[in-house]
Amino acid sequence: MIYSIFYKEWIKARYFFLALVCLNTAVCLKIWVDIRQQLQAEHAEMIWYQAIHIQSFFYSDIRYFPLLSGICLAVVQFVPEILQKRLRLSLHLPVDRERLLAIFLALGLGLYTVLALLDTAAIWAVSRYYFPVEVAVSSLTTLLPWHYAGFVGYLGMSLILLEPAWSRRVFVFLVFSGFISLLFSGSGYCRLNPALPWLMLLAPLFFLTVFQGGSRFQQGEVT
Amino acid sequence: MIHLSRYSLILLGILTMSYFLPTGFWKIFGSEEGSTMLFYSPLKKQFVYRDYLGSHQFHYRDEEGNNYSRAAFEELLPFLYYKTMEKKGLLPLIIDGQSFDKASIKKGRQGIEIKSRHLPDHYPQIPLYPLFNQDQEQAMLPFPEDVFRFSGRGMEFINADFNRIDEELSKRFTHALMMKGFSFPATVIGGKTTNLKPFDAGYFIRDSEGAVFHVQRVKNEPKIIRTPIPPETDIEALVISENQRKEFYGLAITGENRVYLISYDHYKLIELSADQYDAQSMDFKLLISPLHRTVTCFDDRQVFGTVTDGAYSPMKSYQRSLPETITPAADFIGRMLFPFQLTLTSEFRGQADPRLHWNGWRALIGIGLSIVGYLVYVRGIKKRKKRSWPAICLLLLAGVYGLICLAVLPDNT
Repeated sequence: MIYSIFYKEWIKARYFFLALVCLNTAVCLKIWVDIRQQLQAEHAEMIWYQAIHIQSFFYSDIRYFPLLSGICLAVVQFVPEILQKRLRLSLHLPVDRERLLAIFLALGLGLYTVLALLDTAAIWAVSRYYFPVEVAVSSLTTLLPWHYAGFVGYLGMSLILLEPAWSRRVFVFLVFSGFISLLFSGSGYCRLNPALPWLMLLAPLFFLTVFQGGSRFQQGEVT
Repeated sequence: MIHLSRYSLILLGILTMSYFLPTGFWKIFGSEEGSTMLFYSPLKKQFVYRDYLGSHQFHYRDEEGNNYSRAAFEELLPFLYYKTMEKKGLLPLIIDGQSFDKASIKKGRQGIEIKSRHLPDHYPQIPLYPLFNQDQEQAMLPFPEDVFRFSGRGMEFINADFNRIDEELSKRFTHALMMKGFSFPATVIGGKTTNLKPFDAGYFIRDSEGAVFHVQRVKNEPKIIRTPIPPETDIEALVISENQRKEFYGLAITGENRVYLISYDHYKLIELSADQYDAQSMDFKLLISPLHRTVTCFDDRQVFGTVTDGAYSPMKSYQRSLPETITPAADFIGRMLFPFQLTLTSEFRGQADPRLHWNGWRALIGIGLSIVGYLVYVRGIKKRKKRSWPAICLLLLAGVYGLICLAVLPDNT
């Protein structure tokens, strides 16, 4: 049963997932072409100076794409379920509600992780090819909050779609978008490093929030 | 699971609100921080200061509290505003029987500022540095095609054109350093990484045994000097600032918050009088005029100043609190309303600095009001008889944040 639900979710999301893979790959290709062109047009040492000391990193184009990917995945998974009331049918399957929702989320987060790994590997490869290893390492911790924003964005969008009451939807939107805005705050590389362990500790809480949305969706509560 | 899910959302709501609600409140009710710029007036023979009170309001005053107009204030600081003095036809100046014209003032001036957020470990820094090639035949200071780093084995140069280690150059510098007794790896590296400077003084580098080396690249050859700076000086930061006066290379800051000038005279250390300085939470400024040196250091509450003579012997000190820009009513309401506040930034850090600020006893009033408000709502309006102890515990811990969460996310189980 679990495998079947997993497979059903994959069938639903696969084309959108492939579209997101293409989109993220296109952004990474643009980043590669841009830095390659810059290094050909200007002195390499000046590009290095800007990257290392001025902190204008060459991969900033990807900044909001993890968030966009996370939100899109949630929309793709939950909008058809909710609009066509298919989730109500799924909730009658012989699998308890929490497990069913966990499978949904596991697939969504799994697909999101593939996208995040794809972006990270591409940025790492470009960094490593054109810059010293220190710059490549700094790109990993600079990307991490943006990927985390995508994770939170996915869960936040899922919860907003599941939640039947508008007042709660607004509250969830404010809490999640407020948190996400912190992950994008400031400029320069590795800026959030000292806060990241604390912010990452909250990840399980974001995951857990969705389950009450599932319960309220099933009960159809509007208060 | 449902309770766990609800409390997860409540906790996230509290954390997010504790960041955004106080931030918004202080933005609306005058959180613009006041600041004080402290100077020593060679004419008044006392400290004068400019207080910024927010909303483009300034006070120009001296130690005795006398007020000045901006123009009169600038006239008290002729070495700082010498261009204004020149425009007004007030040059040359005669102070203490000495005459100062524009050229002599210009020659005797220097300023160096160390912001806490620019010190090592206070901001994210990739430890790769350009070592400029000093060549008298070059009018410009071109950027080198490589950057250097220190490893446990030596000094490595990485060529930017090929993103590859320049083995030959690395070997030459590592060998030269080893010949001078450098013990790898480097622990502190200080130098100016820009070419927007009058000349290049290279880098000052502290080795793993505490010795400080002056490392330069002259016509692409290493020029290494082992300085006589005592290795036991617990130097934690080296701030280099090239200046045509060539009195000192820069400043060394120790773990005990002592600040030294590294003089051009055989790298002699000159201690600056800055007893209150704390590198963790204070900015530092040294202003040099033809007659005096003024050391100021300040945090978000106070500013301390000491004026010395040309030989850095202290003459006079002064301290004052920074002006309050928040009205007492707004301060009281803010602290009462919000039991605690999360912050992610600090003006003394160039990267995130997460902190939780407790708002003191006044927060207890807000917590009490939140509990009363909750009980009135539950028992008076909702007509429920049963007390909800988890809800009251939540209000005790989170005050108004908890109240908002309970209002939006009631327990409907």
